[in-house]
Amino acid sequence: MSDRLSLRTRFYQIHSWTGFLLGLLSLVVFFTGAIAVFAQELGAWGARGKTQPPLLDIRVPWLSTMVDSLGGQVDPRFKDEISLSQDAGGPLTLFFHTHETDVKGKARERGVRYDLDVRDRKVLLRREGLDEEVFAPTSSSALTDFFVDLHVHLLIPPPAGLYATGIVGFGLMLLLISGVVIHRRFFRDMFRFKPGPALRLTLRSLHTVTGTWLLPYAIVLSFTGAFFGFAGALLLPAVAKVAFGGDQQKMFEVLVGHQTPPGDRKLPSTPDLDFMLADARSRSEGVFRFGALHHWGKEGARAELWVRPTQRRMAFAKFQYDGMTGAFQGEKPALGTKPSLGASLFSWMGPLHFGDFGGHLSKALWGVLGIASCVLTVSGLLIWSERRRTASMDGETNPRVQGAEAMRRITAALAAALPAATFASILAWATWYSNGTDPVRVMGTAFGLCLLAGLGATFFFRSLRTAARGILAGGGLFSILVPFAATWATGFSPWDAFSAWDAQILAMDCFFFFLGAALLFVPARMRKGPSPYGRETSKEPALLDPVEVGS
Amino acid sequence: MPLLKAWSKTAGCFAGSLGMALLLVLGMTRWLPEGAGGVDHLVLPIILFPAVTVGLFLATLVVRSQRRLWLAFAVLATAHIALLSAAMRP
Repeated sequence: MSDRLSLRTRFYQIHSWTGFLLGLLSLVVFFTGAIAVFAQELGAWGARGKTQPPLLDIRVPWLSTMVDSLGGQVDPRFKDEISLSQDAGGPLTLFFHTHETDVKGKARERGVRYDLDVRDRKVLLRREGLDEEVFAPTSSSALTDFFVDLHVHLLIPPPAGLYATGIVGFGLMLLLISGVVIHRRFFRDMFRFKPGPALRLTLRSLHTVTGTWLLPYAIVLSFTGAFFGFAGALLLPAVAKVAFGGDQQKMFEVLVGHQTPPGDRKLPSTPDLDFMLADARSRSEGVFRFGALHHWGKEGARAELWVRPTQRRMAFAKFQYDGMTGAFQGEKPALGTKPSLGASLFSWMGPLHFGDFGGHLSKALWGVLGIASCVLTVSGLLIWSERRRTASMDGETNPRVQGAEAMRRITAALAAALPAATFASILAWATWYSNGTDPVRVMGTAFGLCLLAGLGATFFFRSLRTAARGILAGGGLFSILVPFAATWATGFSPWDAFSAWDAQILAMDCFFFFLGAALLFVPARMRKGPSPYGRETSKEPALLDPVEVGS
Repeated sequence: MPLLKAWSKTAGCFAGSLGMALLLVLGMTRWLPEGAGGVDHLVLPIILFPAVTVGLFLATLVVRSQRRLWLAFAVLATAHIALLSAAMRP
């Protein structure tokens, strides 16, 4: 019995200290992840009036001619591979490129990028250089790029940012395992949320109930998050070193399953790409996401078309076509030449992490669960700080109490300032929309400054409630301003969206407006409603009784 | 001082687990079967890396006989280093 108790105590310590160390970072990762789930929709909203239809929804009979025509204008070595991609509402991007390795043996791509209007075949953008240069954010892609990058790298330069999010994934796995071990009445408390006059009990009950319900989601997200954090930046180069003598290019060729060595003989004509897209549409209900034309126009050419997951299938579908005749060659696994366990597991990692395996419904669910994870994190951090505050009875001079109080204020500041920082970054995007400045950098600055202002406010005001009220009201004001700023920047108003019956833009404009109104309303309620502490004093009482610390 | 010692020990355990997991997954590329698609030995170790790391780290924190645990780690590490050095020899 004492052994079991001791083991439980150890797991309690693991849970408590992992939560303390990674809680704040986890809060940022969860919140930005919940937004990044809708990054494509945000990008489409930002395109306002220039929204492009998905490639599989319309016929583009000129596509093959366009590829041949643009291919004639680029360096012949860039025709090794042509990638086609389209973000939601965005233009069709063609990237003529060749593969090369840098001095450290790292694989990279060099070529020319064209952005095409899929309705009138107009070239919207041309860039030449390395992949990181040609795919640097533009005004139209900045919203999508910023929120994905914020979640993946946390504004920290790579690869440190990736490692940070990977470490958060590890930490979350530890929290989940230790949480399951220390909480014995696991399934009994699933339905026992006990809000009450005492905030300490409400917090504990909230933490238990949300933790229990979020368990399957958190297991999936922590595992896939840790995978994405370390796979690309650390493990793939290490595996290339061990299995391929450091030649990453050779490793990628094995992974993607190159079947036919390219010939040098040029073909008199290329097959109809529009026909292949129509064929892919007939085989899947998904949305075209990505295509790759290998050695296009030469002997041994082949085309691969990737279609997004739908309700009927979990992972991307990869259709392969003969690049000489246009004949369908079958559905291929994501990795390797034949279906395998490794390829199947790999193909599930992305959809499970991004929540796009079931269309908008699964994305909405992932977004809601991401916000619920923020509630779990904040309640856990507040419980931790209150326990430390109440454990020391010798008042405010004790460093333990001061540290716990600082943690309580930082937690509240982050929780309240993250929405405000998000809306501030969207306002920054709108302000710099037509300016030549890098929009992502400006958005990052606005986001960081807003978080700092929130932190400053919680330490400036003695009452945490006053500070949180001000930060939330600021966030509400920013949110209300977002549709007006987007209209000013792009010249496309909600009324235009209504006239064009663009439901997505109209719905998102309304969402920003009403969410802002709600955030303005919440602080007003906080002022009028009864205090969870009773009468508010300059020194708010602790959330947990000292008696509970030892339990 | 005891708190500093506990923190240093935990940080050491995490670094050791991370390094050990890296060695194990790289070694796996040599002994895991390639599978039908010829990629399982490359992909599965990468997918398993988070689980292996967390499992090893929890073991260092929970297992009572630390001496036996680090002995087992040393044996596993030696075997995988030998495997990797044999594979990387030109």
